Amino acid sequence: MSERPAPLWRDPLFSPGDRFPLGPPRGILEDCQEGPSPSGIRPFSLRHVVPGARLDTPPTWRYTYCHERQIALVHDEDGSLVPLLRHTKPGATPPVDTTYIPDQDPNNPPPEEFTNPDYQSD
Amino acid sequence: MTVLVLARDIDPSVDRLVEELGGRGVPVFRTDLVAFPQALTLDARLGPEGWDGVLATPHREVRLSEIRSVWYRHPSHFELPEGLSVAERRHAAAEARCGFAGVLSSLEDVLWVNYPARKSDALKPRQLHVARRCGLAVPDSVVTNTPEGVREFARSLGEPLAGKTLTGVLLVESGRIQIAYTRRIELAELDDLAGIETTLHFFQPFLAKAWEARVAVVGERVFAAAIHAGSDAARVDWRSDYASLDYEIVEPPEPVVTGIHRFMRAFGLSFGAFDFAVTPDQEWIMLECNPFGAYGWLEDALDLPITSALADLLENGAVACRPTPPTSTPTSSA
Repeated sequence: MSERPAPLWRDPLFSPGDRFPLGPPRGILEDCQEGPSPSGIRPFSLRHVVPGARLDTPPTWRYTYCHERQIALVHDEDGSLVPLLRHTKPGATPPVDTTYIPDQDPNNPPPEEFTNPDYQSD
Repeated sequence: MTVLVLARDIDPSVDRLVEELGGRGVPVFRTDLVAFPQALTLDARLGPEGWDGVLATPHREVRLSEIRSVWYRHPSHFELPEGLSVAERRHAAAEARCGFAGVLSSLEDVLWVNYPARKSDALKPRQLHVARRCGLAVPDSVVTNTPEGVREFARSLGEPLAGKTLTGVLLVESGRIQIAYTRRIELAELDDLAGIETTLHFFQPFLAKAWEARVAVVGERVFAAAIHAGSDAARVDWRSDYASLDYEIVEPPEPVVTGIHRFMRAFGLSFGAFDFAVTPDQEWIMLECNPFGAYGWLEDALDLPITSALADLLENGAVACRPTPPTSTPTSSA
């Protein structure tokens, strides 16, 4: 075993796009209306996928980006704006089955890939 | 000196970091690349000391020479103007990507958390290979698109398999998100492996787990949380049933910490979110490391000072955490 393994980032496999990954604009998933392929064609790994949110479901919450503070503010139930990171009222922040999931609420944490959607990057 | 944050507008973990740095009086320039080119400009010039210039939005600007560190956390793709043809759009996107990546990655004495390319470096099969070299225990694994390869692997183990994806777990079909969680595959299921040939598949033994751990590593600091699954679904893949989970702060064994740091150095990481399975014998088996992984919910659940540690790292631009730059000079084809 080597104490200092050889550097691994000099890799010729990847294009500049892979080496500077960018997710879908604003993290919004790209809609796809195509359905599953027939058994035998569909990858085995997708046999038992679990359905999540529909992409045509409008979000039940709104946010505003504050350029002064450089943080997101959400519209609270009484109409006031509060920092998203301190907003813990149930029902106002997005629930698990919506298309955006924050990384902050222990009762509503993210599947990794929701916050890391670069599988869609080009 | 300024911390450049490249992240989406809506990301509470980023909000928390920005406020932490602001509280320390550290200047922050946060933007998402979706703002380019409508509300983000880059004007850079190569001089004797390297690239310098200005990155600007309508609200603030930063000189490139003032950037001390960069937090690269899932920025979005550029939103190019309407009216471009497909060919023009591809060209414009490629030019923008090459320009941003080339200029920003050339800035010297800048700490990246993490370098963007670390994502493509740290592919899961490669992670397992490197982790083993670094002294970490990893599961037996197979990557195959042959049914016989799967069956032979299962026969050699004599126990159920864990079927996992190599990349993300999400896809969109029929206008709906579909999630491909890790799945326990019984030996009896191996009679029908239709679809295996379609692409490469990834299998490991279904490990007996006492609990699992998420270990967030920030520079040299290690924050480990035990994740105790409270349902059958969560015992297979804890991401499938967050409501059943309980957390506690734990200390990884010293050899595991040593292996983690070797792994971080091997990939040139200054941040990593590691997942481990911990067996009933208390053996820590590394499953994967996400160089851009989530940590906010654990920070909140356990009061782990991960944001503070990240702020320390970004504020100080710790040279020790910066990967060694390549020593060879790329050959120009121009």
